[in-house]
Amino acid sequence: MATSRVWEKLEALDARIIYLILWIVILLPFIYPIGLPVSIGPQALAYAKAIDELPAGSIVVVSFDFSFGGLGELYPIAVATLHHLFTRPVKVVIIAIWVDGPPIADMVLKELKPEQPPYNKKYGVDWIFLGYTPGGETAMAALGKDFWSTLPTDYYYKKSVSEYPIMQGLRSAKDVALLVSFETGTPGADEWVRQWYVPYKVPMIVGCIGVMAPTIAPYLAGGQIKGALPGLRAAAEYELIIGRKGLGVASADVLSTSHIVFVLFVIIGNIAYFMRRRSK
Amino acid sequence: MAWFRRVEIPIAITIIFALIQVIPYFVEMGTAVEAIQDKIVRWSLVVGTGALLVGLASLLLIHVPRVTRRRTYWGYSLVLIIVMFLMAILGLPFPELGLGLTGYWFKFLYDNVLVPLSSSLYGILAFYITSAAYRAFKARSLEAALLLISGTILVLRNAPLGTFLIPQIADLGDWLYNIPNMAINRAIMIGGGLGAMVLGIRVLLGYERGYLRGGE
Amino acid sequence: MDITPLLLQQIFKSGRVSGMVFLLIVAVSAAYFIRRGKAGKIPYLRKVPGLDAIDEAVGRATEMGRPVFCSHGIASIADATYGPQTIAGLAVLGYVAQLCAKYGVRLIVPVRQLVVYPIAREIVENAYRMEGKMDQFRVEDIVYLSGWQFGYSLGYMSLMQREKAGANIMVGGYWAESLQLSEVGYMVGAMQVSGTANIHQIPFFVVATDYTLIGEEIFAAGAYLSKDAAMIGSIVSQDIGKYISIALIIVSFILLLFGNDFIVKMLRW
Repeated sequence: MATSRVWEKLEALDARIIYLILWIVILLPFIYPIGLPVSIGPQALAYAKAIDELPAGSIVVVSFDFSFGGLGELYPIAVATLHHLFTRPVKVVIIAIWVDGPPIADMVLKELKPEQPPYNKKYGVDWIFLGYTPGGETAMAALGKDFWSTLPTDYYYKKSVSEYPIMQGLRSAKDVALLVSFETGTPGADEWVRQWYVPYKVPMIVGCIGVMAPTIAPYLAGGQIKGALPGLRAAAEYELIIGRKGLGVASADVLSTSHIVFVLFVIIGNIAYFMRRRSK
Repeated sequence: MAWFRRVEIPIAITIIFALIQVIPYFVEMGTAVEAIQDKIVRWSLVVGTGALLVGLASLLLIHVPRVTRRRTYWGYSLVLIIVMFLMAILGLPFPELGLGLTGYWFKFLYDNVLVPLSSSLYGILAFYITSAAYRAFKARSLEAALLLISGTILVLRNAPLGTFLIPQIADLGDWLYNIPNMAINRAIMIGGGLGAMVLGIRVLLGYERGYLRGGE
Repeated sequence: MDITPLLLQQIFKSGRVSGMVFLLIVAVSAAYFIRRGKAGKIPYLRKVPGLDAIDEAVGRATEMGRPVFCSHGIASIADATYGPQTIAGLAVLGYVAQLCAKYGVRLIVPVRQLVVYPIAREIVENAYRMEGKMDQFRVEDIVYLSGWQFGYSLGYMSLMQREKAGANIMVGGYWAESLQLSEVGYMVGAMQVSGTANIHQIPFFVVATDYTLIGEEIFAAGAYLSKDAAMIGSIVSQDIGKYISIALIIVSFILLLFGNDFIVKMLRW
């Protein structure tokens, strides 16, 4: 009877104990890094390939479609992707469909400093930041039809987009060689596929939070999305591919410890469940 | 009943505006119709912005009496009211006074309060999923056991240590993700799409009135 | 190669013809089955345990003397993709409000979208009026929390903890807050019924709540709960659409085995 109670207690373990242990195992690897190797999966390779294979001079639209809640997983992805793009001879147009997109994009751009070496990209010629446009899916559709009227000025200098050389080659989605979207939900991949892939067949790659992986899986299989980086693990893989270790690789150990503890808890929970049943 | 309270009026408005959006999605109607479409979408944005006042009224309706009557947790309500007005004032477009969305104080509060709060709240999910899984991931039945096993494989697949210790887990995880997961997702997607479609048709035919005022 | 016939290209938008044909078939069948339903030929509807559990959840909260929470997701009703989920959630709200009014139990409705607020309020008010319990209707319980996703979630969680929720019914479009709300609902001991068509949130609801409506079930909720013959009839057209989808999948699979991609191309018209 007494053992039954022990198992019962273990099965109904106070959530705060679980939180405390998890908190410790998340914190520890930041203080004492383990440096476990990260194997690279096909999705991260496909994502990097989509950028590597862009012909020189192509226009790439990068959209920040998330709010600050997604920073933990998406910031490393955004930094690595823009780094990769800035090292290639392509033109980068940065936009945001989410209202929090511009300040986040600004953070990423301030970290990378595209005007400086090793990139030496000229604002308005090689890259531009157009800021936020409201309306979600409607805005995506409007951008697809006409960039100039939907985002008439740039974010930094509030000058008309018609004054920038880079925008001379970008009037509609038909001029876009690749769309990159960083996203946590809606509007996101579903809407881009509907508004840019279906009518204009714009190739697309996606950096998203881990939980979105199942949602975008059908689009990956269907070929609408060429490659995807779901979550931190994928961010780490991508950083290794492009040879720029950042927050993704730094967080890989945390992923290991937290996930393993998660599995251990599940095992303990099951042992407690079966032992309680047996002792009854 | 006064004519303007008749339920047929909002239903008719719904039908007209929905058809203006739906038909040009499929049929080439020319730029004139598209301009009307755009205008209607802009109206909806304006209506949405106007609704801010409704939100303000609702918040004040709840929190002002709580403060004035010193109900439990009234202090929090007071903080809410102060911060709400403070952010609204700091965001006013007067850059010469240091106000506005790019002004120092607005950005200061945004970057140092809202941003860390957002990230922390999102981070809470890691804790909640562990406690929820501890409770629910139990092999009570065949279905539960399948959920438990596949969930565990995917978790291990996502952890560098998991693929390091058991390299095969990567292939197994990818298989689960690409085959059963995708099949189920597509089924739910098709079913959900059809459900939304039929709900839309019921709205257009005036049967689904939940969005009006709860039925009659 | 684009094989869309030239005439179709001029009249219809490229890539959308097959979708339109599909929509028309489903719409016509919906209209037909609604008429049949009105004529008294009501189709058999399988039991949906999640929807049946709503009565139990409200009953349990009443016995415990605790309030019922009912929310309809965080999507705007005006959103093209997710609006229908909010409409479905509001249909459930109407039913829950009627039950609450009938049993005299307090109903709290946390709202995120301002545009939805007046609608939610009217739905609840109307339910109390229809039950003749206007004296029990509390407008301050239809509470706008925040337009910011996590502000809403935080407000919702603390309300549940403060007011000791007895039942928590969540049907609509939910995102990252789904797990936060259901975990806190569990912690305060509320019986929880959830439902969403957001695929990536369904696992969280399944793991953390007592009953979960999956995908299409939430769209059928209004019809199922209303017991209205015409509404129930319309659900049959969902099945017609499903049969067509299944047939297309099987036939295109067989044709592809023989190297024929006609159906794949046709769907791109």
